[in-house]
Amino acid sequence: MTDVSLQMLYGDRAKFALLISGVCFSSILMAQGMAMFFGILAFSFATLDNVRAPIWVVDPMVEQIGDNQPLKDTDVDRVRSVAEVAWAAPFHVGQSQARALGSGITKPVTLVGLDATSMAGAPTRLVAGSITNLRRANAVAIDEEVAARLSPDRFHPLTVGDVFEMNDHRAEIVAIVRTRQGMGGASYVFTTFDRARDYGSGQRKMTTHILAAPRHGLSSESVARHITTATGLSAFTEDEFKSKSSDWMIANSPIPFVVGLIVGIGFLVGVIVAGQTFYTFILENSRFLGALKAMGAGNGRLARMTLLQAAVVGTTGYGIGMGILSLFFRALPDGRAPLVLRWEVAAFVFAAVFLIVCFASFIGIRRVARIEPAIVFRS
Amino acid sequence: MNPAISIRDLHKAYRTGNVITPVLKGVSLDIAPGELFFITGPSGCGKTTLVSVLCGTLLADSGEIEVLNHNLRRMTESQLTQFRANHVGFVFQQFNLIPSLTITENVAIPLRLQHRSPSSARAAAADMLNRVGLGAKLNARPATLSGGQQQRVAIARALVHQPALVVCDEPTSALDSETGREVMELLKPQPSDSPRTVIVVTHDPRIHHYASTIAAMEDGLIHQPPSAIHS
Repeated sequence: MTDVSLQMLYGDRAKFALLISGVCFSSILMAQGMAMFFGILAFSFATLDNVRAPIWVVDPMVEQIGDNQPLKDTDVDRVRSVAEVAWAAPFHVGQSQARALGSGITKPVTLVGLDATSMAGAPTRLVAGSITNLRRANAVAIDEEVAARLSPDRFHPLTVGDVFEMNDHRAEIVAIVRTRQGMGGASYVFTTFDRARDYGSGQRKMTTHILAAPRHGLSSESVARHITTATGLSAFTEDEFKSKSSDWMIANSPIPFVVGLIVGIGFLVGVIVAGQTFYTFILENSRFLGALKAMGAGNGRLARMTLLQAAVVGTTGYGIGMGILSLFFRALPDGRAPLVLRWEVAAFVFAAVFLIVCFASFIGIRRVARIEPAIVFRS
Repeated sequence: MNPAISIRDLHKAYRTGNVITPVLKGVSLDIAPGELFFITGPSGCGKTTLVSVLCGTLLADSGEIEVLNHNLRRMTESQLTQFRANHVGFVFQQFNLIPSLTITENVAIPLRLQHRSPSSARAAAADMLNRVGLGAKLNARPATLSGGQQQRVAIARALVHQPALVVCDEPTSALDSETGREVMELLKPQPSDSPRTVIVVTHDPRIHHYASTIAAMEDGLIHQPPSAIHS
């Protein structure tokens, strides 16, 4: 009776479309809410994505990547002295203002100072120029978004060889890179560690992080533990630091509440629209379902037919919803929107749609079970 | 010969809140196999309730009811469902054809409920539709057919699994005289068919002459002994 069940569902096109739309809209709402949550989390640890290092060493009071507690200059040597460490380099992250010459356009930027010798933590996604040229005088590498923002005409962004100012110091662009934007919307400018002192606020202690790597054959996790034990500083692998930063965001920001609200509304929309429409669908078909019961279709068989209808509605609505969302996300500029569609999002939304479908089936089956076969003899 | 249907002192009442409305008040009846048995009477006299109990879609409160050698009062709900699937064909006043299915698919439903394969059920359904004169419209949807044609589809659906009992509720009330006559010709047990008992609930005096027996109901009772029309 599978075909009969499906044809009854497809036959009422308006209801079928409404059911699919309800589940689809609900899937989109829930998935985009969660994608936004993961996207904002990813923005919050953008520095960890833009600067790749196996081990990050920070002040013990640091709770997340955006917390830039300065370290002593001697801390770098203390980390280097740990036997399991292959190399360690000072690293600076701070804020500054970039000012275009001529137009006077001023934009906030995240200033990154790299160790000039090792270039540890240099951005990997190069659009134009050369990172090694950062060793030249007044050299900076800027994110393509900064290049566009500092230009009076966004369609003709600054390019390699152009000059702008930071903290009244001349900065010559030697490379254009692509990075993930941070939470505050400020894009990244890379320079050497020493020059960052001139371009930034000129604070006395410039080292905000120490980047390190384990000796060959050792795991980053174990070496991070060795560094913590030997120096008293906090050392994390990249994943550990991301996780710590995420946990901090979840515990200290209103984002989980806002996202929870969006996901909750999406779930409610699905339950109400799908549940109500499915109930009406069953109600309007009670005469035919009663006829089937009279002709010898038991409650179990009709329940299976109802479940199949609900499952088809659920999977179709979910598939269309996730498809639309994926296409929309693909159309967005890479890394610019705080939206990350992870498999966990798809799995969670599938589970939520499954619950919606179970609810719709439950009220449908309950209604079907209460239909008396003798109903067909009433005019 | 054992009767196809034997009823003794059958009672049925409906309860709405605290109000109990007795509908069948001790009906007793025997229907012989192969009869075309009519039940007539005014609205509200209990015809529909009686026929619902006879075919196992409604349970009686008390009394004895034996249909085709099955004691319906001793059967569980799933046994009654199985009984209806195997032994009873239905013709409803409102046809109750599923609008999204073709007429062949509609007629095939009783066979599908007996777990026949879709292709074999469709072939048997097409054969039955040919017999009721709708062989040219096998893929039509019910809504594209006239009332008379829809009732012929309903009859094909009632007969396709060769049930021993066919229950018809006002099969001609929505049809003109000529179409009503055609419908009754189809329902009439044919010598070539497997033996079947047909029970027709009707108000329609135009078709009374088709009955082998007529039982007149009034106020929850068969108020006079059923009269045999043909010997």
